[in-house]
Amino acid sequence: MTSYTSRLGIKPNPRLGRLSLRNLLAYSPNLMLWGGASAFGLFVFVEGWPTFQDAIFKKIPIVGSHWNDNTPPEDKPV
Amino acid sequence: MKSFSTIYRTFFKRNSVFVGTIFAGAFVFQVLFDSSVTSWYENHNKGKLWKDVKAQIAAAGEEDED
Amino acid sequence: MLPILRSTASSCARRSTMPGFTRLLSTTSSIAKSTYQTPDFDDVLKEHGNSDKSRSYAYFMIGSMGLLSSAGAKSTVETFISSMSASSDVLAMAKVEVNLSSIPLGKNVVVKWQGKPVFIRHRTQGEIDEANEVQMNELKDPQLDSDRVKQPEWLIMLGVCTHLGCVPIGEAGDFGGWFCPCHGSHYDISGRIRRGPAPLNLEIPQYELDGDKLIVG
Repeated sequence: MTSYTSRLGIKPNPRLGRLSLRNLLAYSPNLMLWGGASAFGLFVFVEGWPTFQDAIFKKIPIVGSHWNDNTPPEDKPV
Repeated sequence: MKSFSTIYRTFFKRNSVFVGTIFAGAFVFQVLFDSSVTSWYENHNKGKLWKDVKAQIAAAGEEDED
Repeated sequence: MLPILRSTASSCARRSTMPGFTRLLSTTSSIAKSTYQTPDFDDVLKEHGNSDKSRSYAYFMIGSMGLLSSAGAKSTVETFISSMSASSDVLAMAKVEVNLSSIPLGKNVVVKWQGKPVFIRHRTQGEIDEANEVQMNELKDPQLDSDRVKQPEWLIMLGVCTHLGCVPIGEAGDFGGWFCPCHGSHYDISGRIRRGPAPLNLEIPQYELDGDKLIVG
């Protein structure tokens, strides 16, 4: 036999405005994909920046050599 | 035709994946386009580039020394 | 030629047989009473095609336009920003060239580079040996002499004390090297800190030796 309560059968959902932990957790895989997409977007725009070239691009396995500068030093104007 | 459904589901359904693929593709496109145009240009102007002239001068210099 | 008009009822009946529209069966009875007429587009409607295929085609075209335009945007932005980078004459000023044949053995020379003094010493063999004989455990900042010089007879370092930035005096101090008068730091013949408040050895700048020419920077 079931017993019935006379209380309201809802639980308050802890939230901060529209954000709540459950909502955030549900969105987290999509937010990670967006993080990856924005990282690739950043890579597109900073391709010519030597700092990023040394740190990231030259370390890509096969195509990393594209960013290596093989001109002999006597041919460099500066 | 099922392949179109797979393509749609993996690349075009989530906007984050779509945009990410576009940026990754743009990066790859930049690298490929840059290297292919450079190699075409150097091939088209073979003999007139400094690296070819330098090699020529070096070869001529060796002949003079002999 | 007037388009063939059909009443909404018959067009809805056709729609209701498609998958996903069976819900309409429940309202067919009320719609059957409607006499609103719509044109008959059946001869121009596409054959029941794969919706994923048409969507994939459309998104592929949109995506490739996005790809090419982001590559183009990057090129444009990079062109303008790289035009603001340092020009060759400015970069040339970042380096200084010194003729080493003018420096006799056992003498110090100070050169100004990027606003800072650079100490160049033409060391004698005795001084080189003295520098090599120092034990690492005596040093506050242990560093081998061979790690500080490219050619042992040419010692090139920044003349800025690592304590608070005064310029040390050459051929002074208790260790046969340099002495900083501000707070009493003693550096040895390899520019390493031996006594005094300075924490690190004198910094070695980026340089290149090419025969008699030294290029700092």
